[in-house]
Amino acid sequence: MPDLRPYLVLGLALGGVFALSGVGMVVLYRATGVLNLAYGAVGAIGALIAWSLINTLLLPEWVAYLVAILFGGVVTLVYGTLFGPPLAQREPLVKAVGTLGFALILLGTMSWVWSYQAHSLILPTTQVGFQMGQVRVNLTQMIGLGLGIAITAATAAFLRFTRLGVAMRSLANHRETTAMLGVPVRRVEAAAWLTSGLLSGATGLLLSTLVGLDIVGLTFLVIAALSAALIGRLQSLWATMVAGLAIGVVQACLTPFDAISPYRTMTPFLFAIAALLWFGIAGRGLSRA
Amino acid sequence: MRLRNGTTHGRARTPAVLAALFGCLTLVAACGGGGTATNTPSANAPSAKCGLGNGQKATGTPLTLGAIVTKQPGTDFTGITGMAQAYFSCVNDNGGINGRPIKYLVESEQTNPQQVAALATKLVDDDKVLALVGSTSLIDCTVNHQFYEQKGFNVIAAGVPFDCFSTPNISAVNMGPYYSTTGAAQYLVRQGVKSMVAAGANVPGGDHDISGAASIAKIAGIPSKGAYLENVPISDASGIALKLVNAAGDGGGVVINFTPPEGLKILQAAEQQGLIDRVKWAWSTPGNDASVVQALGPGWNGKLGVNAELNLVDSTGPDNVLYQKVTKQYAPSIPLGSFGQMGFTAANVIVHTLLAMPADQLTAAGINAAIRKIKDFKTDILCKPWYFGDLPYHVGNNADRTVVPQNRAFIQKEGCFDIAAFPGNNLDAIRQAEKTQNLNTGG
Repeated sequence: MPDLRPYLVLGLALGGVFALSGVGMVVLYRATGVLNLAYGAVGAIGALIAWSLINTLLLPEWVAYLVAILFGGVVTLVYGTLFGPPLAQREPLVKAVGTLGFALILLGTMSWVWSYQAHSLILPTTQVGFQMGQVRVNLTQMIGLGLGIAITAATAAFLRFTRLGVAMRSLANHRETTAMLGVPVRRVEAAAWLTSGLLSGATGLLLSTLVGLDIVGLTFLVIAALSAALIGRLQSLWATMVAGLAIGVVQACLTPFDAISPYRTMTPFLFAIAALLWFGIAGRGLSRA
Repeated sequence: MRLRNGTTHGRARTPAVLAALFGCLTLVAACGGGGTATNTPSANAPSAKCGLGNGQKATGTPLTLGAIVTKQPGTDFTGITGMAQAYFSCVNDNGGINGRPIKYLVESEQTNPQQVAALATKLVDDDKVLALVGSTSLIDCTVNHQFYEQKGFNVIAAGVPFDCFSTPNISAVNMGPYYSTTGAAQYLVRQGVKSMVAAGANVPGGDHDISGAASIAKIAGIPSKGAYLENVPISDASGIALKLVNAAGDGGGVVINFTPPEGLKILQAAEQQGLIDRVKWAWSTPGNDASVVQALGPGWNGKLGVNAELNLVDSTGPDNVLYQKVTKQYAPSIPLGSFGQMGFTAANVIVHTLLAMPADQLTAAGINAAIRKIKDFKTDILCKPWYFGDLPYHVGNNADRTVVPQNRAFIQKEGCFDIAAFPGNNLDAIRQAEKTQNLNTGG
């Protein structure tokens, strides 16, 4: 039996970022009813912009990171402003497909501008760390985990205790009623798009260090976040966070087992399938009762 | 209509928003191309030129060449065909092939055998390409080598699967991942490693590509502790790095065979976890890439042996200097690296072959017959002169170097050495044929 402790540490760090991504998606979904499949692509393009600002324009790193996060917020807000209102009355699937198109546009843009090269963006926090058994735990990994938990807690409190948060919660399912009650729908939705975009920008920076600055890889890591969000039924922030962590930990801990290691990248899908089956069975049981 | 009706409130802001988005994308485009190494060529180096080098644009009837290239998530070889295209563009701006420009048709594939077979048929039968040059695919050689044999095409490739090096009508300017990984393992043995572990991409033929490491370990009398195939793109490089180091054990050797972006993830994960010094590291040819070495920190100085099938990207021989110039002028977005050198060399070989042919022989049959007769093609980018030759299998490039990173540039650690010959890798027979047929000895 291999020593799993180092893989547990690595899995928690990775899972923390999955959780952060999942929470960003759930926040947007709860406010707008949109499942944002462009979440990973926005983070990836922000990180690549930061890479270019640092390596080409030689800007200070903190400026580049700030631009990356702001870019995530602005580009997501622009999409939400342009396409949110006309798609507001459409089915969730249509809204999700809209964001998939947006993701593909961003993916094409990245391939066009940054293709061919190996890119690297290592946050300076990675230099700080301590040894834990076989593995060195760095500050970026701790930020990944800590930010996931902190954002979840802060967002849960925000949605529960603030007027804007309550307005966001009411929007997804009762958009017209909420508007009739005088809630500034466009502004509330814009706040949700902006928040989700800022989170995607921050997530992209963390993932570029923890996973690698890779166009396709970062774009489609949204799948792991989506699985976490599905397990949270696109409603529960805490369930999403726990699911994100669990996916990261299980995937990492399968690594040293040679027989099943090649299949460990299926972990997010298996979690999502298991959750959907469970919801189906539980739902059927409830309806019979 | 829904869009307009639904965004009445926001319409006034739309131009400003679009302007902002355009500004962002402009910023992205302006910033994206940077970061490649630009080493100044030696002023004393003898000069090579693109084709005729007369500065006159070729305007005659185009000579159409073709290629098939893999481009999919985690595996993108289009830098090779992109560089071949760049060289052809330079040739076309300098007189072409005695006045005739080269038209280069490149088809990308996603490792679907039916697709790859159809693309070969399209290029040869429909597009009527005269020759296939610079093809770099995970499955083209495997799927299409019999088709090429039937059609009498002799393909100058940048090979990946073993079929590019073990069939009669394909010869590659590189030695491919199998032989390069073998060479990387030889370097580790010379470094005195106690065990050997290999890892590569989980792609068709990926297991064979890294199998040479175990053979070298066996010859050296050290244990082979595993050969791992990893799904690409890699999403958990930290776990992979830890697994490889643990498998090799302290003092062991780890050889990896990945494209630059994927291999870099593993090395950076190893650095972040403080694993660099627990083992000795080696990488097959894709690691010899300017964008890789610039991304590796000083922690890797002298600690990663990269098997270089082609010369240092900043070497000052005439062909490599021309390669740098062509990259700068015609393909600035393609980083200086082995992939680019492969595309350049394949294009260089065919251009010199075509220039030496009489005009009435510039047909598919004539050109492919001439390709088969290529021998003793000298270039400073390769260790030995290159040839095609009338052989049942081709590994014209079978000697290479080892380079190591030093302050964000590669320096040569070991000069040209022969890839080890052992049963099953054909190198004994190939070197025998080189001697008897004077393929690369100037005879």
